[in-house]
Amino acid sequence: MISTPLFTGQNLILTPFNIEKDAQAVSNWSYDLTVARQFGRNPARPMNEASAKKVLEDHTRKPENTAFFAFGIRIKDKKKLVGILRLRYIAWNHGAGEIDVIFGNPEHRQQCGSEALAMGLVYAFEELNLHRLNTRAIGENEQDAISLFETAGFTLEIRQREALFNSGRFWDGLIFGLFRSEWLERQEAH
Amino acid sequence: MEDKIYKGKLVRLAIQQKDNVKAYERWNLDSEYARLADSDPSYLWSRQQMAEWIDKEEDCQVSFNIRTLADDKLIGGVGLWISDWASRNAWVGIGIGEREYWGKGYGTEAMRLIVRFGFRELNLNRISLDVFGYNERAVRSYEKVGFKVEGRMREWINRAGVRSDLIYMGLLRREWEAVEENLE
Repeated sequence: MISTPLFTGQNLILTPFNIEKDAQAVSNWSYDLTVARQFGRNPARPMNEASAKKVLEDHTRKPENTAFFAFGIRIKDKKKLVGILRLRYIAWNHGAGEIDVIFGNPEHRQQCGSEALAMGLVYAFEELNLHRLNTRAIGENEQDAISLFETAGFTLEIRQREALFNSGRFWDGLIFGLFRSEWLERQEAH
Repeated sequence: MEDKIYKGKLVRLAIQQKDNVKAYERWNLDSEYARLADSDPSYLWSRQQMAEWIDKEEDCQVSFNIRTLADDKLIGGVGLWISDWASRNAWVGIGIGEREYWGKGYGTEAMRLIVRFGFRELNLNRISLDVFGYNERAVRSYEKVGFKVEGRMREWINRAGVRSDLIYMGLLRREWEAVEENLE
């Protein structure tokens, strides 16, 4: 429905970035390499504020880039950035794209993950009208990813054996997929 | 030693040359080829754009032309993109633009050569690729080289209104070593 609010959830809001202030939060998060890895800097390492600022500038959508959307995740009535929702690699000719949610700390992920993901799915399927979405996870976070994404209806589609190396060992790369039709069915059932 | 890396029985891996753009231009006009080679919308790139790409060499990318040994004819291209050196994982892509060389083992041999290059020269642990569900000939070719299907992104591709899966395949160093020993 066009009256459905896209950016206001029950406990969370999606917002633009406040680059100056949010850079400090992102820099703090990045001491956790599992978070730093999600920003695509290779090899992953903690980021100072200047690097974090650059990351947030890159995450601010340029109108000519139609394949990338990112939002700041905040808890209602609180200003601090707790996470980032991204829709990336959108192939408009195929109606396919990728979603991910990054949280600065595990408590926020636990507390806000499913609501933020649900908001991202509404945006992807009702605003971007995608046919399907995928999301990626690293083997070291397999249980966490399964509980977040399978609960939201995703199916594990691909296991890339030994695709990633960190923390002293190789891990599988996992890719989960969800169709708009599967998402709609669940919306109706709830 | 160099010969072993670059040369097989049918083809060799060759340096990209600027005058290849004439062949690339012809291949771009073959819409079936373009739709087998890339998921992006087919497009007619200018000679100048293509020449710029040939000139541009990047540390994370190793690209070769594929030329026949019999008459040194340019028939296609193959390349490795190293996504992450610490993970020793690279993506491989291949295309045979000249149709009369389809289904005769030229592409399979070129793939064997680039895979050997990746494991021996780049010290990779794994090589990854994706292939469109409607390209069964390519899947069979990659399986001959040793790649295994690791899953499918269901209905990822939409071509002329028909949806197909995007098939992911992977080849691990230890699996390649077992196959390579049998070849030598």
